[in-house]
Amino acid sequence: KLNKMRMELAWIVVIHLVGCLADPQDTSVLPEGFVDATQRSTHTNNWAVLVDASRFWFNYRHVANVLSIYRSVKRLGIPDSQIILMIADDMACNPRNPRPGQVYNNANQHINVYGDDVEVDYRGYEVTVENFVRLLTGRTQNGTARSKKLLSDAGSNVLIYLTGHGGDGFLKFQDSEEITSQELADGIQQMWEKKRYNELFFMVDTCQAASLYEKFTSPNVLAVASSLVGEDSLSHHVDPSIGVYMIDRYTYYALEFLEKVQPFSKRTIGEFLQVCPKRVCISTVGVRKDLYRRDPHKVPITDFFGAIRPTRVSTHRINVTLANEEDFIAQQDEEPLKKPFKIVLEPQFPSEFFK
Amino acid sequence: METTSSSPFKPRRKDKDEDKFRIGATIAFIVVIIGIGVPMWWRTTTVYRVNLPSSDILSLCETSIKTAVQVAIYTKQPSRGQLLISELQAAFSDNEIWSVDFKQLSATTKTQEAHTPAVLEKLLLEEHPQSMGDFMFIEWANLQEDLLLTTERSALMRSDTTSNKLVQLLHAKILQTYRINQILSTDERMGAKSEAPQPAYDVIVSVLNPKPRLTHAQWNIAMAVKTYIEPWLAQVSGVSNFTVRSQWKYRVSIEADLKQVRDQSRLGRHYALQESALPHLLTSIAQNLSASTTDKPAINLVVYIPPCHTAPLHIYDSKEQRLTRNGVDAFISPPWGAFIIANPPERVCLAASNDKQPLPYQVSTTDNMQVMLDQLQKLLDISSELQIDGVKAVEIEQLEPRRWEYESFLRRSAIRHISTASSTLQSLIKLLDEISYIVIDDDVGAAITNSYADILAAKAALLGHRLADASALAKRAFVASERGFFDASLLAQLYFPDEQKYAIYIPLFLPIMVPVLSSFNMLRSVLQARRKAKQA
Repeated sequence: KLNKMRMELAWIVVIHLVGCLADPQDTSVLPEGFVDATQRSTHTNNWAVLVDASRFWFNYRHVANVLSIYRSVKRLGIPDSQIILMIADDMACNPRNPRPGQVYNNANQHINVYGDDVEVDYRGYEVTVENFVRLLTGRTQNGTARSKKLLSDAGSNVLIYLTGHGGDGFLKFQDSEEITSQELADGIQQMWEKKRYNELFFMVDTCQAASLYEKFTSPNVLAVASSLVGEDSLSHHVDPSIGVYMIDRYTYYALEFLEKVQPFSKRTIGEFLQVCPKRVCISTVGVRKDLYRRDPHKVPITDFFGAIRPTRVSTHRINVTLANEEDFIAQQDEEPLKKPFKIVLEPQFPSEFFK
Repeated sequence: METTSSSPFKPRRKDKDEDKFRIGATIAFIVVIIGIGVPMWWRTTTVYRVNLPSSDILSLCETSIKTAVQVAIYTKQPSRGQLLISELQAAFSDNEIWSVDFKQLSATTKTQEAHTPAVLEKLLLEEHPQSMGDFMFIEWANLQEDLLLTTERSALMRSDTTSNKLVQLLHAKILQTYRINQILSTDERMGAKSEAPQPAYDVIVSVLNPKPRLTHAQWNIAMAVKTYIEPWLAQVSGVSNFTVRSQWKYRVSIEADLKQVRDQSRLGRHYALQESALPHLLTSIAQNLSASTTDKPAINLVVYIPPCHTAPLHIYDSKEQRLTRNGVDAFISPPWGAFIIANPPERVCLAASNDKQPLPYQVSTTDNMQVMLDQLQKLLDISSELQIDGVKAVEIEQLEPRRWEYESFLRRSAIRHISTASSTLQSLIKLLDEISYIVIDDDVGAAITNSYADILAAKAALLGHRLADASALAKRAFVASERGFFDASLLAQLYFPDEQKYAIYIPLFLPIMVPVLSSFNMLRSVLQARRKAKQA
């Protein structure tokens, strides 16, 4: 009799399951088209804010960190006009640099990350907490050059990369001041209120980096940190010929990943978040994705590290003719006559003073 | 100030006089420190904030932005006109954004005799003048398509055009409802992802000649720009001011893979530029166009003269189809700018391929300027590119945009400015509530209050059928709100949040406050003693 009851129960369960699966009105299962639509990228342009906050020669690795990320981001398509690069000290022309004008991120010195076309927007003592917060919130002083402003709008995906020395809840700027995690959170909240970003990717490579993103409350922010609270981020290796540590571990492995990314790559941010496991990084990489509504494994990495520039062919014309072609011929005889001028050579050594 | 403990050298005297002085001194201290000092400290350390109409600003989103439009319909048969109007009114009855007023224009003997649509329109306008933003449907018998949009504020319709077509045209092209919905939507995924029209733009026309010694291209670009671009921009300066510059750039070449393609022309070959490589091409030249020397947002119009060894250059898509139309190879990239490929004429490159001296030639102004004008219209978002079945628009023949297109653009910009200014002011008020150490000085307060007043006036102007006023007021509101939100002084007390106020002042004032507070005890005991004495 028990067996019979068990059979009946099993049948009831099976019928119920079949009924659930066959129910077209089941609202707990979202239609696939809707799920896909929410996972699609909605940005129209890309910006990057790359900050190195520490100075002095022995912090060479922080400059190498930020310049390497700058190179990757530029290679993947973000133009210089949309990259804000803040470097607190000059390593390339530092008197202690045995390779003047060059900054390397590897002891084999294959790539000069300083290059010929680096464009540093905030250099030296201009890298301060006040300037950084002014940049994020858009409240720059009157007369700030356009290339020094973050002109992002509601369709911009912004990448923020910070490196330097940090502690529990702060990042040290220039060895004299700190930015607290509360100020960072306030700045990003103000960006969200004024619709200055579509999605934000926040990367930090400092000691106890995870404390910097703890106070965030604005939506659409994905944050990754090289170490958790209480852990130190370690540097990778020393170059004996230059005499300082060249690069930090997290950025070294992040770069290894980014070097393999091409502009049309299908790698995802989810894979990028898993770069540098504990056995190579020694510190644990911290990730904050509760504020980010998309699945990181479906977001292409070029959403933040590359740039889209929408182009479309447009061959129509407005059929208006206002003047004949002859009227536009540059008048050759109207150019002003160039007066002949005499060249006077001064003697190289003013010997007349010594007569 | 010690009144309770006595020194061992002075005999303790319960002298009422001395008590009186002691009590008087204590009361004086209490009055000065707690009565005057603490309120004065509180007032001098409050964050300076001008009075703002916060609750009014926060309630801005409750009133929607509604626009009044008048649409007139002229038909030969009044019954048809009445039927159309009743159907149109039904279609627009419950609309939250539009308050459309339909007017019927009846046929008179003069209008029946009109020979051309232009004459008919003129006659109708004499009787019933239109104001900015209005529209008119005119019935015209010999028409090939269902609806033909003119360059003024009207469209010609056939005798059998249905009201559905009219509604479709109104929503899609005249009122551009889908774009207004995008602007007004509160969902950030659906909302407008581009910038609002800025108050000033810099238009930079650049001619690139990468090999000036081999390509002797001559062109008076300054005069071409002055003849074609500047007058056209003067016509569309209702929302933004434009300053135009032109420049020649030598030795700036494009970075793109060009494939050689054999063909039947006299040169035997041309070069193919892939459509997918166009974004990278723009990135490679953008740095060299000196667009960053200006403070205003820039619109770059580039004309590229390919050198003969890679000429003629045509754009191909991914399916190996050539995308040249009517001899034009050009593309746009909003909001950055546009690019035209001005291939040198065949005879010039033939001479170059035969190793002769480079032949100087004139770049064709009309060709390039006509394409440039169309590109500019698309970049400024004035042209409506939506295609509807059976609807055509008359080609532009004057150096001015179509009147209905431009006024739709003004209306859309006004709504955009009002919506952006409202959300900016609301964000600012919310931020002031959350972060209590932001200073609002007089200038910023005035900008915010003026912006709020202008928003209300602009909304009223839109509802009151005054589009020109609404456009100007909305622009003023937008500029003031941006100025107020992004003022540099809002960061003044960056390092002085509330918690630090207490942390700094408590170590200064606590040593003084402790004896004052403890003397309260002494006063209380004295008063109790007095009361006991009175009772006794």
